[in-house]
Amino acid sequence: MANVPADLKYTREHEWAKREGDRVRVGITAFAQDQLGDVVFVELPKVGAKVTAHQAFGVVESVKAVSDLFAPVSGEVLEINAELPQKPETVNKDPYGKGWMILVKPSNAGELDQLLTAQQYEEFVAQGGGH
Amino acid sequence: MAPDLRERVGERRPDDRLVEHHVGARVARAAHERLVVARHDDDARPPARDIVVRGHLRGLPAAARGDDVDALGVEQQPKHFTDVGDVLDEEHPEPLARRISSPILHTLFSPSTTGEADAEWVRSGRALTRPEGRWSTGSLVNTALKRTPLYESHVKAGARMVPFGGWEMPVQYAGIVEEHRAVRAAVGCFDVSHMGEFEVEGPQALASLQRLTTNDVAALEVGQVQYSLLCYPDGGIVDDLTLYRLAPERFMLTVNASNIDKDWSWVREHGAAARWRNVSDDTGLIAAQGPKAEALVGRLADRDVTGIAYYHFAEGRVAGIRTLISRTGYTGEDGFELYVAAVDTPRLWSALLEAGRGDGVVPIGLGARDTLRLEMRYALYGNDIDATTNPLEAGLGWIVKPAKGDFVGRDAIEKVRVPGPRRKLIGLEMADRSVARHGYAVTTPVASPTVGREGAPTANTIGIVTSGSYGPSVERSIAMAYVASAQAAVGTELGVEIRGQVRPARVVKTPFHPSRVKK
Repeated sequence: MANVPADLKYTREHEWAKREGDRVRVGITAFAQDQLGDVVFVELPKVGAKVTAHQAFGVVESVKAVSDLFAPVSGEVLEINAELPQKPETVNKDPYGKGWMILVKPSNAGELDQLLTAQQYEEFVAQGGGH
Repeated sequence: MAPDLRERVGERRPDDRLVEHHVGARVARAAHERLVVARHDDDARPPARDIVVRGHLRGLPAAARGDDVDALGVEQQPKHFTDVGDVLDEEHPEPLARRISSPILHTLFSPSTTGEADAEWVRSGRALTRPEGRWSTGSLVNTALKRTPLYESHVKAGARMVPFGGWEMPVQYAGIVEEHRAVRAAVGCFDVSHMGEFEVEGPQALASLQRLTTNDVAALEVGQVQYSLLCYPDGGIVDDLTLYRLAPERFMLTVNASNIDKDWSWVREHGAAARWRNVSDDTGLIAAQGPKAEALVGRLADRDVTGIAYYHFAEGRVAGIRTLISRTGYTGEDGFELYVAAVDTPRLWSALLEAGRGDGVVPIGLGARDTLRLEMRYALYGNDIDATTNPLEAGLGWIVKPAKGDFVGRDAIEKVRVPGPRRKLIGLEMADRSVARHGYAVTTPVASPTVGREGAPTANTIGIVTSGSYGPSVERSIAMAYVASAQAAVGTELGVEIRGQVRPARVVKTPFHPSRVKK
């Protein structure tokens, strides 16, 4: 089973969300990057863009697949990981650290609580998401 | 800001015409997905050999999955592709789709198990055929996938198995980029046993092949291999193949896995005078490719292999196994394709991996096979060439020899030769790292791709991408595409419409990466 840090929240679309004060940092899980394989392109929104929970905010492409990225929470994009366009492989190498994607100022703090806990996400992956 | 409404998408016409479409495009995703759907709905196509697909990080719709919405209440999304990639195992005999709801698994590979694959199933079984009733795609497509003699080895090695052209094949072991680089730097072994082999012999064999194939078989000597095509009367391509002259009146054809049944019917219909044998099920095929392939194969062979020239073959024993040693490949590296009896394939596979340990040999999946061939601009049937493409526009005029006499498709092809094809298969390099994938529209360039003022057309569609990926050796995003001949010159600035945005691309010389085959 892939690494699932206990202090993060998760979507069923395999994004993670990390509360940092009144902000939420977003990336994809170790499981996601493993399944995608070598990430070669990441398309992120612009700073200032609004994202909506459960809706696509960007795209990640591996050699063989294109996948939408879904926002765990609604809000405004405060920062994006500017390193990813040049070094998309960072998503594979460090999905929970340097491979983060966007930093959001959430408009509805309650949304974060509706996400999966690490344990729920692990179960979700173990039940159907993985092999 | 999104560009504005895109009216139609570019399409490839069977008559080889490219229609210029207005691409002013607001959309993006919807139009984009229509392209993908159109592709999968296209019955005229053979089972896709393309293993690229677009998906979400979401699961199959519950109804399609034959599953209840799971306990966590996964929100289901419509899904326009039908495959999942996974490994069946004895502990989980239930239909795979019940076990897999991981969206990403679904995103990886496209449907390759369509009607034609069903037809393949009709061929009488050997050990390779998966037991009936075990499906890889649950309720969506009840197609039995075939397995090569190396299936167990792949699973044991931890390969990610996927449906491909009716077969359950390894798409990657360690990772596509790593495997790709291993082949360029050292040596890799590929299981290509899924490919088809036909033998043809008798006094009529040569004449039959001259009639069936586009290249000049009379020029082929015993011990030599020839790249060639089967064409339809209208010049469209039935398949591309390699042709071996085993003896003066005995030949072998190696054809694409997804086309075996179609080709088999075709050759018997149009080459009826000769004696044909479909030996696909009896034949295993392993490719050893890379700068260290010669040393590796040489170490195991009972004969000198350094003297086997490119596109020549010899018989010998490799690891004690009777082998047809062919100096051919699909990677642009030096190397061999080793034909053995199906039953001997696992032994040869193990011997190569064992003996090559010091060379850094690794097993290579279909993913890297695809990026390796793409960097060489080698055509892939079902992606870059098919029944709707003419050999000349595909850049395959060099294997069409009208002077040899009549053959199926000659008149139609020659009609194109003098005016020249209206479109050409060219190499594209993307300015950024976005990936131009099969079916994306190629457009005229636009200075400001994201700004689509009302009423201001941003670009015109002048072609279509047939294959595209990140090229691990060229370290750029590259693609093959058909474009109008007027825009096919090296250096021409073009665009590729990716998710509603036209992104800059340039026509470049191919191969993208220098070939190192042994000439």
